[in-house]
Amino acid sequence: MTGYIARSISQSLLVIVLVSMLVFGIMRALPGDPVAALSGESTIGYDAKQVDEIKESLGLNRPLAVQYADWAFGAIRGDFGNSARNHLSVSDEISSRLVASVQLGLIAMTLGIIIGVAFGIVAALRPGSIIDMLVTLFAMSGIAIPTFVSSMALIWIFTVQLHWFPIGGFVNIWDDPAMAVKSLAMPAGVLAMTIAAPIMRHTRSSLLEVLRFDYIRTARAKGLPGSAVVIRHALRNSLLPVVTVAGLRMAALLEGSVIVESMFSVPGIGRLAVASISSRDYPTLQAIVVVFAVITVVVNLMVDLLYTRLDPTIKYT
Amino acid sequence: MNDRLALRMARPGAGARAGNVAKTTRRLFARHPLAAISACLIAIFALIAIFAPLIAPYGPTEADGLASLSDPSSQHFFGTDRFGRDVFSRIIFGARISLGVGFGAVLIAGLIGIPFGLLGGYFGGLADAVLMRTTDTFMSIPGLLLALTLVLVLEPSFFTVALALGVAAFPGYARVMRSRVLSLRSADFVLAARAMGAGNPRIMLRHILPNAAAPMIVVASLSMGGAVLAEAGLSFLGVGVRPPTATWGSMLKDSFALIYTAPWLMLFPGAAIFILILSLNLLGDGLRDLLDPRQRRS
Repeated sequence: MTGYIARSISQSLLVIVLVSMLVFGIMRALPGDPVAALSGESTIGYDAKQVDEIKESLGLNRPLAVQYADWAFGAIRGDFGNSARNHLSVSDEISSRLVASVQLGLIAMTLGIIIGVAFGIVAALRPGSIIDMLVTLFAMSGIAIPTFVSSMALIWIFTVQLHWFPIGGFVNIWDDPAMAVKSLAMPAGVLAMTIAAPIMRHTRSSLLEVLRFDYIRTARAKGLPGSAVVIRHALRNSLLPVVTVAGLRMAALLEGSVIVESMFSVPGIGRLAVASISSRDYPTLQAIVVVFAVITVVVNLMVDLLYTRLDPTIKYT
Repeated sequence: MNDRLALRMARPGAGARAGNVAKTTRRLFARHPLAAISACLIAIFALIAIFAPLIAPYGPTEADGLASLSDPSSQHFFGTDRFGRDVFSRIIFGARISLGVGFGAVLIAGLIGIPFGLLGGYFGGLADAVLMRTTDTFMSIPGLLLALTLVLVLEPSFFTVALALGVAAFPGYARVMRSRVLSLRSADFVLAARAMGAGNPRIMLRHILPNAAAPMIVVASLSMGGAVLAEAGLSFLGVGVRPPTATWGSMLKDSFALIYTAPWLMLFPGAAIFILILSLNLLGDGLRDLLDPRQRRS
C-alpha cells in the first residue's frame, strides 16, 4: 500500500517534470524571433549588437538545458518570468485571477456532480421510462453541444430576451452573494452541464448494475423503504466509478473555463489564456499550460488514492 | 510496410473481412437504429463536404455588400452574414473543414497512438515505461490548451490544426491499444504463431494488430466527435483554419458579436456542429456495443 502510494506520487512528479520540458520545448520551437516572442518587443530596426544585448539580458544566449533549468527552478519557486504583454509578473497575474476561476470552478463542479448524480438516480430507478429517455437525451446533448454554443444560447435567452442576468463581470461571492449568483449563474451552468452529462450516464449505468445484486433484494425483502435501499445500500456502492469520472472531468472543466470565462468576461485564468493567445504572450501561456497540467495530474493522483479509501476490496501492492 | 499491407489487402482473407463489414452494418441497423440513423447523417455530411461546390448556390467567400445581414429567404436559405456572404453556402463549405480536420486528426492520432500502444504493450519493460510516461505527459495537458499552443507555434492551417488535434488525442489510442495488446500477448493463437517461428514484427502486424481493430474503430469514431468539437473550439477562439475560409467555429465567433442584431446567425452553424457531433457520438456508442462489448460503460 505504502509502496503503491509512493510509486503513484513519484510517477506524477515525473509526469509534471516531463510536461514542463514539453511546454518549454514547444515554446522554444516558436517560429520567428524568440526575442520578439519573449519580450513582446519587435526587434525590427535594431542592429545585430542590440539584438544580442537583449538576448543576453533575457538569457537566450545560454545553452538550452541551462535556460530550462533556470525557468523550471523559477517555476518551482512560483516565478514564471514576466508577461510579454505588460511586463508584469506572470505569477502575480495568475494569482490575481485565481479567485474568479476557483469560485467558478467549484460552483460548476458542485452543481455538475449534484445534477449528474440526481438525474442518474432518477433515470436508473425507472429504466426505459420517459424520464429515463429524457435524462439520457439531456446527457447526450450535454456531451454534444459545445460550450460556446450553449453559452450563446443562454446569453440570447437570459440576457438579450429576458434581461435576467448580466453578461459576465465577476462579483466575489463573499462580497455580494446575490450579485455573485447572478453573474456566475450562466457560466457555472454551462460548465456544470459538461460535468453533469458524463456523471449522469455513469451514475445511471453503475446504479443499474448494483441494483441487480442479491444484497439489494435482501434489503428490500427485510422491509426497508425504497429510498433507504437506494441511498444507503446501492448508491454507496455505485459511486466509485463516478468519482473517477468526476476526476477525469477536471481537464474538461479547465478546458471549458478557457472558452466560458472569455465569453462571459469572467476575469479568471481561462480568460487570461485567451488574452495571452491573441497578444502572443508566450511566457503567460506557458505558465498557464503548466499550471493546468499540474492541477490535472494532482487531481488524478488524488482520485487514484481516494479509490483505495472508498473501496477496501481493491488491494494495491 | 506498405508492401506488406498491400499484400494483405490482396489476400483472399480480405473478402471475408468485407463480409464482416456488411454483417456489422446489418446488425447495426437491426439493433441500434439510432446509431444507424447517425451513420446515415454522417454519410450525408460527408457527401455535402465532398460535393460542396456543386451543392452550394454561392461561393463560400462570395460577398454581396448590398445584402449584408439579410433574413433567410428563397435567395439565401439561411440568410447572409455581415459581409453579405451566403450562410447556407458557408455551412456547406464549413463541413469540409469540420469533417476533414476531424478525420485528419483521427488519422494522425491513430498513426502515433497505435504504434505507441502496440510497441509498449508487446515489449513491456523499459520501452513500455518510456512510451507510457510520454503518453501520460501529453494526456495531462488539457487537450484544447495543448492543441492551442501547438497551432500557435505551427501557424494555423488545415494541416496544422489536424496535426495539433491528433497529437492532443493520441494518448487515448495508445492506452486502449496497450491494454488490448496486453491481453492478446499471451493468447493461444499468438503463442502458436510464435511456436511456428513467427518473428516479433510478424506477430505484431499479422496477429495482434488485426485483432485489436475493433476497439480501435470504436475509439476512432468516439474521438472524431471530440476532434470536430475541438476544431470548432479553436476556430471560435480565432486560432483555427484562417479566415476567410468558412468554418462553423469561426461563423459562430462572428455571430456572437452580432447576438443583439442578428441572433439567427448562430442557429445554423450551432445546429450543424451539434448534429454532427451527436451523430458521431451515437455511432461510436452503437459500434462499441456491437464490436467491443467489454468496453461498454452504459
